[in-house]
Amino acid sequence: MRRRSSNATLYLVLIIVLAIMAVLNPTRFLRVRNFYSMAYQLPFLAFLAMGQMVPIVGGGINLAIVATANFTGIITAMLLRALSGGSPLEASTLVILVSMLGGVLAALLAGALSGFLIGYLRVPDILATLGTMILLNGVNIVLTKGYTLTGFPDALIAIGNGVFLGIPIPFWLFLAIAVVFRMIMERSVFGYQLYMIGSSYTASRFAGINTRSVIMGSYLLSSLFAAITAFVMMGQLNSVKANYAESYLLVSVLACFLGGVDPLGGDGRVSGLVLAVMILQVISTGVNLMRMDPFFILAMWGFIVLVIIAANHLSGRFRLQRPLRGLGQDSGLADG
Amino acid sequence: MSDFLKLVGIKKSFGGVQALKGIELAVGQNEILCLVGENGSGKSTLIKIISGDLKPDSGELWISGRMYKQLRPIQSLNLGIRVIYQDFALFPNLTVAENIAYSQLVETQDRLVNWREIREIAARAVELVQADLDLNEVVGNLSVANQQMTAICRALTRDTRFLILDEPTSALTKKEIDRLLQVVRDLQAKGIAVMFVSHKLNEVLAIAERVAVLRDGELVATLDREEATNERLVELMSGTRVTYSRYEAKPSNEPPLLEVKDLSKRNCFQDISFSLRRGEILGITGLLGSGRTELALALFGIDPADRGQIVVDHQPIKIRTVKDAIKAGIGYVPEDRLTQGLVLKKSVGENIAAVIIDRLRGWLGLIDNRAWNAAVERWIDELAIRVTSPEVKAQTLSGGNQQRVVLAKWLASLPKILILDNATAGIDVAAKSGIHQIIRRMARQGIGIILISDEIPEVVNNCSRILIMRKGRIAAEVETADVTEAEVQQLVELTEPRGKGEGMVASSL
Repeated sequence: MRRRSSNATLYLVLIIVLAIMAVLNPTRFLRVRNFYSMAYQLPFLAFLAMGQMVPIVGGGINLAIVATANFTGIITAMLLRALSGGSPLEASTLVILVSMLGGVLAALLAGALSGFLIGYLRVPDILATLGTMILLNGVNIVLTKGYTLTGFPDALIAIGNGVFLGIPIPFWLFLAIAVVFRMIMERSVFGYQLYMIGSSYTASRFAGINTRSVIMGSYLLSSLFAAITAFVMMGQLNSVKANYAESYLLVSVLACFLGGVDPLGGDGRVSGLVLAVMILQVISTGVNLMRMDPFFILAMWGFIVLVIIAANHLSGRFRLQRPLRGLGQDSGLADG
Repeated sequence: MSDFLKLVGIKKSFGGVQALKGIELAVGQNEILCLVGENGSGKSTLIKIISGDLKPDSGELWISGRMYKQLRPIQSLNLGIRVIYQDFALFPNLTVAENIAYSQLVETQDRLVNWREIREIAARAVELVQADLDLNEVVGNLSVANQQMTAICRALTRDTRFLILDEPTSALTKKEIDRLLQVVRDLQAKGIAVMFVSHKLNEVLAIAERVAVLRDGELVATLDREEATNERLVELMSGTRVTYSRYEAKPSNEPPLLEVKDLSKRNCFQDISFSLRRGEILGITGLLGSGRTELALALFGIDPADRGQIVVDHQPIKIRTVKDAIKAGIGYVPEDRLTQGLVLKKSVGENIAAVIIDRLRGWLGLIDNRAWNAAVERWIDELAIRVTSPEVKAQTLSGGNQQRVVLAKWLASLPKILILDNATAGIDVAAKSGIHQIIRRMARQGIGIILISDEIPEVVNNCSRILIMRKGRIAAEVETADVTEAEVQQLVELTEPRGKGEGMVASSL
């Protein structure tokens, strides 16, 4: 139906990275245990990256995504404590569900704020989400007074930490959500309109696309992913804090670019994003096994993205396409 | 050598299309040369090669007896070549003096601004053309004619040898045009060569010493003033003797499809009233800035009107958003297809589906591929859009084909009313007449069409009635059966807004 670009470069990079890591860690990398730990860690970054991809495809960005995740975690933790009478470890299923719902609503509220500013008031996306981020960071600190909140019931922890049929539950979640996400982005009317708006806001408006509600929807969806990320994070860390995972904000953006999402909006596939997240995870796990400085992982990630962007540039894919003005248009621009 | 500029064998192509096919042209030291040609004939490309914005593929530029393979923009400036484009490229938030002196100040590379120098530079330039400009006025507040004078003054601050004016009269009234032509003659007397690029032949004939005619990238003729006549130029420009066939709408006594009553928007248009019948093609023309596009955008919900009434099919409706307009069955084909009409990065199919996407929902609200393909293929067929597949990106198509995609997008929504705003600008003659055929076919199918255009022949030949707008009001209304193109042209440039009475038409003819 609609033409999509190929992910050949990304498959190639994934294979190369896997090979390099296997060679550098001859005894430890190609082990079931190692792949298990990758399956355990990958969903966290994957959900953040998906949440970032939505607004970028629409021509924006969500700088508040990590702050929203922390906000969700904190609200959920506080509701748990309040609704279970101070003993969150024994909270009933209903209380857990209500608390999580509260967390999700908090995330959506944050998304609605960004979405309203950007979609309705046309505030530039960077400004709006930067504002939302700083607002949430402040609120998060006020709510927690800077302390770490800890102690969650097993059912909640299972989301990030449990195992089902020998595979981590977060990885099952990731598989299911990735399928749904792909349908939303590449098969639904909302997804189609989002790609159109990201490609040309003006032309989309002149085609009667409701730019306001689609942009609003994109920030709500982005925040929903932040909430999912928050629940995984709560399970894996067994705690929430005002400023967890802040360095992952830029990693989520970087994963999008690595996955072939057009920084200017309007292009990028979910499968490319998933491959990009896998590449980042393999690098991170491999470097860890070598017992190197963890900050080296960040450097490696940055390096890989630069290599891929350079490669894509040389092969002409990422280059800002010059419109073919000769085809009867050259004078259309000035003569008209 | 008394030629200031001589072009030898200039060729330029863009991705397979030859825009210029070996141009040979000379301009004397202080000659006024007019360059005419249809949209898409290569005029702009030629100007850009002279100004150094584009490199020719082959050929030579001789300037004051020196040969150049290509020019860089700064070289072109240093050689005394200035181009004033249609949009003037002024800073609307700066004063006249600042705008005029700007380029000279940049050149001196001083770090500090010398306000007295700015005034002196500006005053000298204004003196040169004896323009009546207030140096302290902010350019954004000036009339179009005075903005143009500012642009001309700016071009004259440095040693100018050759001035190119690109479509300089498209937003001017008759009086302002006369003033401009006088300024051009004065500049000539001061030893400056002028190239006057236009498609309005009456002005060309008024000012030219020689006329060069471009068609499809070739210089088909260079005529002396005595040899040039209106008919001869039209024939040369279009290649064939264009005999526009007139469109005769069947007169019907049906009640109007669209009625607009006293529609107003502050600073845009006032008290607009008209009606449109099913199957009618109603023309709206007027100078740039006469309010015609603003009116169209109000009917389409992009910039809604402040007050007034819109009635579609007897239903009074409010149009506040594009969605409202679409719901009422109104579509809009904009002049600027590159930013407003099309999502260039996306495929032809994705563009065609944009308006009807909600009707292509299937299982779970996902897009129904079969319905999508059927709709896209149907409209590619109906409008004979030449593409190898619906997945081709819109930006790769020619102008005429692109405009067909925009039409397809709207026709797919089965509109009652379609507004075309200068929809054939920048499209070659053959593609243009193809679009006209489509418009007539749509009208025969019962769609009411509002055809907004600069080109008098386009409205006169396709429409049964024409509204002529001036300064945001309807200045005149004519039945095309009763008028010639020249008379309509006159109305556009001369008429004052229609007052309470309706007597304006007769008196201004």
